Amino acid sequence: MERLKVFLEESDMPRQWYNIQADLPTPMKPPLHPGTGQPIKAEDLAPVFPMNLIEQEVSAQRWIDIPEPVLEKYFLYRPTPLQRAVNFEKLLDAPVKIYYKYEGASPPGSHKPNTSIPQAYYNKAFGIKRLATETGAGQWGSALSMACQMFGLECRVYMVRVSFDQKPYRRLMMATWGAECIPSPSDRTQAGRKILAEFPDSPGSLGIAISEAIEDAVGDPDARYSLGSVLNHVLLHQTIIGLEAKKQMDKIGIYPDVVLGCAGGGSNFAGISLPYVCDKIHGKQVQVVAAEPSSCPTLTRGPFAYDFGDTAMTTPLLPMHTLGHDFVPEPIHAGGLRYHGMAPIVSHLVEQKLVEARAFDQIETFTAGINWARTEGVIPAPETNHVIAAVVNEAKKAREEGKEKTILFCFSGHGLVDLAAYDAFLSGKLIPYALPEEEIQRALKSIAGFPKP
Amino acid sequence: MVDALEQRDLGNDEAAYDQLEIRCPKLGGQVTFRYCRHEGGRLPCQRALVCWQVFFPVEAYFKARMTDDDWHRCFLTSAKPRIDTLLECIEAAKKRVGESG
Repeated sequence: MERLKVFLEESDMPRQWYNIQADLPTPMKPPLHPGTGQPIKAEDLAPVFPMNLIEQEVSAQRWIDIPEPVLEKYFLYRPTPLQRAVNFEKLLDAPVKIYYKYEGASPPGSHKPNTSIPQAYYNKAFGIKRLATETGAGQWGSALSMACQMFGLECRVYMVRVSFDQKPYRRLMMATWGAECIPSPSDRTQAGRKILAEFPDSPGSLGIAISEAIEDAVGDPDARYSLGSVLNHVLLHQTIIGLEAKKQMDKIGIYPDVVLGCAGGGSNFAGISLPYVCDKIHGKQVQVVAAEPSSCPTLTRGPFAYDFGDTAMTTPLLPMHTLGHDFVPEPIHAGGLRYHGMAPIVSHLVEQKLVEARAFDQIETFTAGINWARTEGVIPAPETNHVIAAVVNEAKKAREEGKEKTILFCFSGHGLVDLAAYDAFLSGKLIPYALPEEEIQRALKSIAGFPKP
Repeated sequence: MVDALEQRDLGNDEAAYDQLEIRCPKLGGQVTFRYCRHEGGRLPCQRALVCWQVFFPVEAYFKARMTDDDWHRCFLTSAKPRIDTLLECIEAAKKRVGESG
């Protein structure tokens, strides 16, 4: 019988996080302050982050000890299991073995507590009494609420109003963990009041909520701000995922050919992949893939042709399912992890060709997620569906190439609090609407003379 | 295996656009097109073209309703990295708090 789960004892859980900054072949350029044009200094970040986290943010130390109080909280749900998806493998009918790290096992159901717990701890250790943050749909807000409760901190979450109104379960989770969840824009901050004065019915946005949370922290010396993605220290904390996975795979004597994660802000992707990117830097053969959201429609509609990557026709001809390079403006075709919300480390690794990015649209991702739920049982978070779509894509490639592959991916969270998204898909609300024929013809005319692969 | 669903014609019902739903990758939740049209206050969300392109000819939709200046400001200007946004927010917040304090 095939082994379906690999567990680690608490005693075998890694005691250090891995910092890839120490191993980058080309160091990252220091981020510049947009106001001064000078490299960012610790004091630029000090109004919103405690100094112990700022030190981690700029650290080049390879291994950073996980404090004992953080380990104790991690033990509530870590080590998470490494699982084999044999039923999904059967469905795909491809020569692949699929392993996944199940991060849905945490109390809020995602990988987010891997950083919310240490962030709460470090703030507490620095003498902070309250954390402020923003949340979109509530995944980060709920993870931080739980972590603050664990370390006796107050927590204030500015939740984008459109989600606040639509997502009662996430805000109830926050309330249960003792946090104050405020719809944004709110009257608590000048930023919020200004928006409300101009647009009283504003549904809010992530940008407004960030402004409110930061203003809240800046205005209270006992408060700081907390962010759940993008920053170096966030990615550092998430490496516990990949470090555990390596130990678990070692236990059964395997090493993955491909490591994948979904990449919104980059935190769970970095978590699973950075320890493997380290191996790759040191000569190991492993492919690392980031699956990102996109709505490029071209797989189902455009012909497969060589097309320019941009409207100026300056990039090499790329084989792609295309509706023509002039169909959408350049930034859209550019795609590929240039989304401004991506973690700088991940963008740097893509530029260095240590990581490759692939984009999947919502139809592909929900199709993959539903097939997963119908074979493996767990309903994935909609973000997780992106990486499952990438796994499907990888399995198809393996079948076409006749190559056996071992795939490892990060199952970043379950979707039990996101069933509205499945409702939208299953009730047909995510149906792509047909483009007018003249639009398609206009676009196709622009690639009429291009060679076909 | 579930297949991707067939395409449907939206027709000419202008108001129907606003009711279309999508999963917002920034928020992590369902939003209507009406939200995306106003996410940036007066301007649409910078990702609106990327997100909606699969559903209907959103480029044509916005081009017909926006000035050239707004189009360029919204869709052809590179979005700032998150760290820049964060630092700008800190500076702006310090200023607001300083003025009110």
